[in-house]
Amino acid sequence: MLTIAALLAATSGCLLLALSQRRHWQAVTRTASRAPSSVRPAGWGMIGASLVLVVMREGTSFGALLWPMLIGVSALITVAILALNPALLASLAKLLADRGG
Amino acid sequence: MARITPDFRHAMHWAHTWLGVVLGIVMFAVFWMGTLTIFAPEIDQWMIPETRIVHDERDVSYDHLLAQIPPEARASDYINFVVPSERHPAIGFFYQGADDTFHDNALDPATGQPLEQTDSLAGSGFFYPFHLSLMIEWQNLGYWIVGLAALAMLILLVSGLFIHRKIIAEFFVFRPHRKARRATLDLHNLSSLIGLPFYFLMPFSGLLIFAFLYLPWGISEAFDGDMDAAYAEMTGDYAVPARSGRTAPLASVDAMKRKAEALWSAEEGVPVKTNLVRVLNHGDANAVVYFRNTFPDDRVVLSEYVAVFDGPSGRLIRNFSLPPIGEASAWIQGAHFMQFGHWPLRWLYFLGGLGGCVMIATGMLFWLRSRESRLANASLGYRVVEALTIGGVSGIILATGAFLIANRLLPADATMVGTGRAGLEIRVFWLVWLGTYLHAAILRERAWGQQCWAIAAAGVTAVMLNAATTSNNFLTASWSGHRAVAIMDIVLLAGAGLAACTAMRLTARTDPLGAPAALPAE
Amino acid sequence: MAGAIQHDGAARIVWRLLAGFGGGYALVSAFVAASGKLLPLIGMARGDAVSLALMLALLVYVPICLLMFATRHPVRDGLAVLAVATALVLLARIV
Repeated sequence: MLTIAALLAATSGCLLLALSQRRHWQAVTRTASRAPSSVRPAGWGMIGASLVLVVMREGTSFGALLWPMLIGVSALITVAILALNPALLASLAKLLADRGG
Repeated sequence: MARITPDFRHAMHWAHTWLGVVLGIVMFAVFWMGTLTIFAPEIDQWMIPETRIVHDERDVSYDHLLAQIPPEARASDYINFVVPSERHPAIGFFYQGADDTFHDNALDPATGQPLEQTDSLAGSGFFYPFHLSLMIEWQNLGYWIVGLAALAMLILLVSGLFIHRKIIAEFFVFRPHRKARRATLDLHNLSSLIGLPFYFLMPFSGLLIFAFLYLPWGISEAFDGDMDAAYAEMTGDYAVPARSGRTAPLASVDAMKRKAEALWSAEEGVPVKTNLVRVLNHGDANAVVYFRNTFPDDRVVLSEYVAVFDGPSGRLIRNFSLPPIGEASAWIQGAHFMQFGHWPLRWLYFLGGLGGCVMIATGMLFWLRSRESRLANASLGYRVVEALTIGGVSGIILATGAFLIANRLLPADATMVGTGRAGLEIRVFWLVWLGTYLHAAILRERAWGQQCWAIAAAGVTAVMLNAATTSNNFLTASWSGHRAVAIMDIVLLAGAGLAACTAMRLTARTDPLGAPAALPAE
Repeated sequence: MAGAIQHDGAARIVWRLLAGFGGGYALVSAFVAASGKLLPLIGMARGDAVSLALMLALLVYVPICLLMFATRHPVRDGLAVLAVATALVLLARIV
């Protein structure tokens, strides 16, 4: 359970970090705007949360091995979405723009 | 960055390119075989069906086993048992015979009798040593080549970071629909960055594991030339005295084992179990019984505890535990061996290993593609690298498939010009691998797609042969608890599927009618 | 004569590789030996001293190799690597 939560946190963190970059935000929203400035810190926050969750579940010894790999998987998921179907993130982007802008 | 001058970046580019081209195939082979080694126990069970035992949690009695060993073993100076576990359900048993040869057996935990095994080196006997030393035993040359490749990989990773100008900006970028060169480089960058901590950890920890082999002078000089003292202090090895010639019965090994585990568990605070039971100078007054917890199931650290007992009396001679920094080193090494019981991590390592293979292969592919227009028809060097790349990537994978197929097809008593069945399986591997190089040299770019199709066919064939020649296929295996066989068959089928997809993409690319229409850019 | 690697002739490149991989190996071996002799003097167990040096070894070796690839003064820097290696060997021998 905690591991799934960690994976979700890591993935959302990666998605937020990607969206905070101009090229990806513009590909997703199909506009020339930029993401709100809170998106990037939120992304890092989620990444940090995933680390905490992994260590809570696995301890530091296994956690040190598991967490970097979890981040790798999350990054891969993010890249896949952005490469194959960025429009999937359009509603997320809209939500962030409405709340943060 | 102001400090990274163009000259520095060029130098890193030069180093990255040259090391990559020269050692790329070695690195791929090591990574491929390493990825397979993660599942060596499962591969062993698949290839040696007699060891497909469902693990029983009951403790084995080593006194009982010792009472049943053959006379030649009874007189041996070196008898070794590997304690069974879920992934190694048969008891490993090997001893040094009178003629200094090693006899290797798997014992049935229920009866203590040797299992009638298919003669095969399988994962632990072939893939694992291949990963360590490329099967080049002469003067440990293979270990040195692998070590050089490991060092090169670390240099490549660091230099790669310096070359990649827009790491942050392009971290999440992958453009599969762009031209082959761009897509290949994107995939190379992507696979490198995603698994970077893992790709750094593996060669680093691998080199550390063989530190005694790679830096013998440094270590022995620190111990004033006394290598035995170095081993004893750093790994817990015990220098066993020679046989005295006087016979003496062995005290209860099971009692000693319980005592060792009690001591270790008290020190660690959690239960610690033995993995290795070794009897030295069996039957002699100088007999010694040696216990080690080589691969704990619940921790990353490996091999922290050694207990040595006097054989005839059962008295504890030495209780070793790793000192603090030794334990940190053992953690790093344990992270490489990955023998602990953590299945999600095991599968992540497998994906990481495959990712490493993708990283290396796409690196070499990019080298070829970026010189294709200039050199493809003009340079012998290009043709050599091309043939080596194809043979070294799809070729070695295909050879692995052929090895598995040979395992299922060769009759139990197969011999040919003095080579036993296990050796014949290896021959098939080498012959098919050599064939893929020739195929690649002649057919050049078309060989990629053809070899990928062959890999797909091999994967499916292997699974069907397993179902035909043994009593468990992946459907029945998961029900009856033979998880190893189920995993293996599923991975083979998944691999076959992946190879087929790759083959389709590759043959589409060399289609003279042109690549699929490019989609709107990112 | 100074110059970047991509302009170097074969001889200078061979020197860079020998000094980097070979000289670096010598330096790292000597580093392990010297650490194994020196650190126990401040109370560390010898086995631990060597374990620590072995873990640090690659963090020394890889930068040396990168240095020899990147430097614009390969002769000077290669000789420096060899000099340090020699010094460490002597240090290990003396202690």
